[in-house]
Amino acid sequence: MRLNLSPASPIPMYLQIAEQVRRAIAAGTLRAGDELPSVRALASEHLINPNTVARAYLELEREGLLAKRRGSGTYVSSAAPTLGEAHRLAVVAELIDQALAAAEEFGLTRSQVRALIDQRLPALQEKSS
Amino acid sequence: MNAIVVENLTKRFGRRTAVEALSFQVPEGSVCGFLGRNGAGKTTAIRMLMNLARPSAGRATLLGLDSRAHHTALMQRVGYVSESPVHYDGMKVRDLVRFTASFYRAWNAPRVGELLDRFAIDRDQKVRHLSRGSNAQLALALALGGDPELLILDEPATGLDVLVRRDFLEGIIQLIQREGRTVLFSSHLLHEVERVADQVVLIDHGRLIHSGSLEELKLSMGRSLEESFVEMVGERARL
Repeated sequence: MRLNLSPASPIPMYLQIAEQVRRAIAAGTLRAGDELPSVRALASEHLINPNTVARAYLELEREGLLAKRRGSGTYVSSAAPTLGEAHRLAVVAELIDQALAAAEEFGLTRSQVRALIDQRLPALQEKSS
Repeated sequence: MNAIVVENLTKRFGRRTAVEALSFQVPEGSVCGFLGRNGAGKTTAIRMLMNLARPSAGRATLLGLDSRAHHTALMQRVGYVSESPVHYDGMKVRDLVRFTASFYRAWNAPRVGELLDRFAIDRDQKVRHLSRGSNAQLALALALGGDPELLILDEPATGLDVLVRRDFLEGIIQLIQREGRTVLFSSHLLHEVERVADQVVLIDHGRLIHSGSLEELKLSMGRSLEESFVEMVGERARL
């Protein structure tokens, strides 16, 4: 798993890791039952504090996305696909909210915004999964 | 359990106060960035932790032991790399390693050998002929040789190239993987520490500005470490 981490960001690194794992699950790159790299391996690979990785995994376990198996590693939980669906919607909803905030700031009308979305929708490639 | 407890630590040089009533704790198992500008008092504070300077007041407790009363016992358990490691520079690397090992009851010779190989340090080279980078790498290898429970690094790789700085980060990460090991790592380069630290202690003009979890600091300030530092130091300067 290749993470893209910015240690100097205002966002704590454990949240960056958690968000990237969530996105990987949401995008289907990580699927139910997939094993995640060990805390030790991920910390060594990215030269980061293992406590930071452990905290990110713990956060995702609390959310039900990851599950620890006794004596082995950390896996994407079987409940993850449905949570992933909710997360997928939440991510896109947030981006739409940001766009709407900009539209409001610029004084666009509802029909202008709707037209912008309608213009773009045909370009959306629907996955046949 | 705290690996380091500093209470009211103070150092005066004549009329100048280099470290003033400094108090902080570093929890066992953490990597703590000890941060401040040049001349903030970091090295003086660390020298008091290592019993290389005598406090004017206050005390430091390392691994539950008073840093002055139990200095000899602590030497076995605390690794230290100073900002300019002074080695017996007429010695060959191999002799310096043997000499250093003789001070330790438990010396991890295979680990030191591995590190010297990785750093491509020639054991038959005289220490004085090593480059600055190799000298710092040698100091790191020797500090890790005693399998320290606490590793204290004072601006260890400042001014050295990116690969040597990376070696230090790797050394820290590898050590911390082992249960209950603690690292205190001083630097004036905040971003260098940010990658591996989970705790930070920020000082300025010899005084504590902030100590605690790096992540909590970022969450509460909503800013990067550098911006938070500038804001806190700037606020103090205006007082």
